[in-house]
Amino acid sequence: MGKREWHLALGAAVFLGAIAVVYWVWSGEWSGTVMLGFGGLAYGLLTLFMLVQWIRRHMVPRPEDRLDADMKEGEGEIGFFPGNSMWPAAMGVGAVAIAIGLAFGKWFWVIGIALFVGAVIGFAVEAESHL
Amino acid sequence: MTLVQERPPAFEEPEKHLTEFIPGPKFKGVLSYLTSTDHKQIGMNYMVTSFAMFLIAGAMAVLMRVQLSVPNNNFVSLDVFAQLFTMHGTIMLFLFLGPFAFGTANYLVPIQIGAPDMAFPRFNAFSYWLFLGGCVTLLSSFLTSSGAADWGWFAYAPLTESIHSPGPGGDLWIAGVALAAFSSMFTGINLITTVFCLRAPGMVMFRMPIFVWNQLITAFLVLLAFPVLTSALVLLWCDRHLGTHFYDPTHGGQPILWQNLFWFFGHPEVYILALPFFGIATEVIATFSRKPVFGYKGMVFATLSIAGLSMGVWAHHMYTTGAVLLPFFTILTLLISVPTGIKFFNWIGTMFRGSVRLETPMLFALGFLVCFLIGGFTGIMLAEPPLDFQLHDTYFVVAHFHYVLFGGSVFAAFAGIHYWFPKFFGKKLDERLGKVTFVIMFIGFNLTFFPQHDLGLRGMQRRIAVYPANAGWSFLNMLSSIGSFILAFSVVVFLVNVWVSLRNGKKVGPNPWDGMTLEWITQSPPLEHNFEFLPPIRSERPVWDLNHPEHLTLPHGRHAKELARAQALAGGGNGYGGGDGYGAGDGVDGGGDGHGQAERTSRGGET
Amino acid sequence: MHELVPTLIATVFHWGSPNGITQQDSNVYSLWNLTYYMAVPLGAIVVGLIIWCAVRYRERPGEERIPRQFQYHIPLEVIYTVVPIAMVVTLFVFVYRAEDRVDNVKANPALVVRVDAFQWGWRFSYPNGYQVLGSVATEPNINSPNLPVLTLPAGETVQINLFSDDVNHSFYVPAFLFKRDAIQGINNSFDVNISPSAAGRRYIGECTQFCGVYHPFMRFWLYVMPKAKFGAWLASHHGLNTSVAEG
Repeated sequence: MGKREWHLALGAAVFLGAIAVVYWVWSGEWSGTVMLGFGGLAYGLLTLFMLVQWIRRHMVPRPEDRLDADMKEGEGEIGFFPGNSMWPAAMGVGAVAIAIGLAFGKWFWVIGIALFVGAVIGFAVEAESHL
Repeated sequence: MTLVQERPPAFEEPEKHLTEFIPGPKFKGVLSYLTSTDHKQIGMNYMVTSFAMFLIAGAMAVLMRVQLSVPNNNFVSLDVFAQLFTMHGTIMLFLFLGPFAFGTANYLVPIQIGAPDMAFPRFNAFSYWLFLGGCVTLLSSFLTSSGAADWGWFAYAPLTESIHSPGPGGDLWIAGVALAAFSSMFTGINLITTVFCLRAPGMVMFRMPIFVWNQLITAFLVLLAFPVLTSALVLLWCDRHLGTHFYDPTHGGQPILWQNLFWFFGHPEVYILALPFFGIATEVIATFSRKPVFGYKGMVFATLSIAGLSMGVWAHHMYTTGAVLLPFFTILTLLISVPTGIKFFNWIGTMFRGSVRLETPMLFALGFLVCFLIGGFTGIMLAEPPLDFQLHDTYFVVAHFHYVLFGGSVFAAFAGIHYWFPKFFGKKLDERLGKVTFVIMFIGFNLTFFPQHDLGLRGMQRRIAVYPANAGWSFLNMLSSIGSFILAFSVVVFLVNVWVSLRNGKKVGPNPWDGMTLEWITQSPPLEHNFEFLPPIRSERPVWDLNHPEHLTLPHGRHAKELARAQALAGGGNGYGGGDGYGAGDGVDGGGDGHGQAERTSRGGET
Repeated sequence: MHELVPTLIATVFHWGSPNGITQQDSNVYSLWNLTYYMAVPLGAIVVGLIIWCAVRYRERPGEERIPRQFQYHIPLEVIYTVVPIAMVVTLFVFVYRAEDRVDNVKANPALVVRVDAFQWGWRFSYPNGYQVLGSVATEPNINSPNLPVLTLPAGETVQINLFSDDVNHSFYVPAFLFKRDAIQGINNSFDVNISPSAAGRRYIGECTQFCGVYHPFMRFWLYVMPKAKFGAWLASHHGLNTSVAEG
């Protein structure tokens, strides 16, 4: 993780926190303050995570954070990019079945949750077997 | 199957395949489509599906305009009209504009940053299926016996409580919107991770195209806004089915809570629907002016400011409730006009003294500029509570948001479609039909929505299916309806253009527009995993630098003298030292002026 | 025909907005004028710049050229950041003042009227117990003759308290240039002081918050009575009036 990334997240967290404080002091209104405050906390969490990553790299920029980096520096394995997979569509079917249960009735959730959880397991196992 | 991706070296034709495939299941035909995790396929899925939703919701709009063309009309019943305006808004916002933006993001963001795919390809596919599920769920609500949800797209409580709106239509609305919301959230996570973790070497944050910046900032907003929506929806469903009373005033609940929650989502949502399209407009304007984006850093900071401020203005949709702190929301809403104005001046600065090619994508971008400006000004009027007290919930507001969403985002979307069509399909859209589309659409759009400003000033409320003959609204409504038929016709012209061009269009190479960003170095359409080779990235327009090494961005600022001296030393200003203002020490290359020549990197003028 | 020119002029300046009839609405007018007369010239300048760039720097086919590749001009960028901020802050000062005056509620109004909105009609309650009730549910028609009438005196401060029986509604009289929502759980109050020149006339009122299927029909009449006659009128009306509109 590079420097600019955690700067962005920090900016978001600080901005939201500041607005939450101003809003609370000025209006005393709960719902807005809570929403703004939690937004700030969420980005604070993200900031912490990225800051830790940055420090763990000993604050050395990655090739994509350096102005003069060459393509050669980025050679090698980038990551795991699975090709075709049936599990996203299966998860989609499960998720839609759960959503439809909101209208059809809670009994539909039995089917929906079974489908969805099954698909999630398939999704995860697929990743497992290729690591 | 897994693949191990090699980053291709610059300027060398690869001797071996860049990707090593480990054998796995291979699918053909429909199955291949159902199981694809390729960001380009998924992006295209999003764009096509969302465009189909645009057509469906547009047809609903035409039906409404027929009903409103004359007073006292009975073309559709009151309840059908309510379903139409509810679903028109819901579909346009949740199922067209947002997903279309995500479609362009999916297709283009990885390519523009030099990545082979999105960070989580299967998760990306899952997001698409959630979106499609949302479309089917929402549309299926029309088939229920009590019809689709008819409570307006912002679903104010307590009208949405089960006592006032029983029936499955409303629950299917909740389910469909929730699916679309989760789809958006997951795309947002994917986008942020991709931009943070998968950029090519040299592609620092301040060298990303403005399109990518806007999509990244949009993703930040998505993560803040959509969870609030889903929470509000859960509370609503519980009120409807589990006997809770969150929004139910008869048992101590607060209807105003729904409004606060919804608009805390709803306002960032409209910026989510605008910022990606600003990004498209920026790319088109820069390419068709043959100049770099003027004030690049200012653009980035302006977009960040717009996003930040947009989190703090939600209650300007609630001024007339008497329950909000008016001055707080007024000042923040008025302040948003400042960064938006900065963006406008930067767009103008990009065109200024450029070489402006008035082809179809640029025409749509110009239409975007003019119409969004008008929408922005009416927004400033509505930001002022005393004016809003008169104009809230009238057709003035309807005119305002159609000017920013259609005149703004949709025009920019059409600019993007005409711009990237050759990249997606290898053929250009017909230029003459494109210009005809633009002219008819511009006329139809303005004729439909400009009279609505006056209708609002005359007191016509929104969401009414009929109006009386003696109100003085008839002429303007008729004008507006005629405009809507013209607008619909322009969309037909566009569809004809797509059909004709896909069948008989002229084939084009990788860079038909002399584009500047990385997608214009890929094939048309791009290969699997995108790149055969990547040029060195020394500015926000690496393909321009590659193709026009004698016309790099002029250095500026305190390093301008240093860089100019370094370029002179390195032999005549053909280096890659473009001023991106990122600080001292920009590498200056000597001799990197052509394809196939080995690149030498040097610092500060030494060779 | 002799009305055409004044109508066109009025249209360009405040379009079809009705002339307000209250003291409060002069604040709305002046704010509209300020905003409109800032926006129109500014808009004309920006649109002019856009069109000028598109025409003046147009590249005709076959005349390709690559222009000077400048990207920054910090002084200019600073100007068009700072000047808009100044304009916005100035505007805000005027808005704050106007909003204060429009929202101001007096401690001792001359008359307090309670307005209850419900699906789909209105109930107006006067201090002496007189109530006017009109609903369109029984005869839904955009031209219904059963619209309830809210009779108010001119030249005095009238306070209106808004309540809702069920879902959210909104009380809007276009001639007031003002509306306020009726939401359960929120007690909304506002003042109007109607100009005596409006006496003897009636004005339409509407519900502007979508409240269900008969929302478009949920209208009422505002009848403005001269101050001198109002006291007698109110004294002579008692009980609940659900009959056809007066006036």
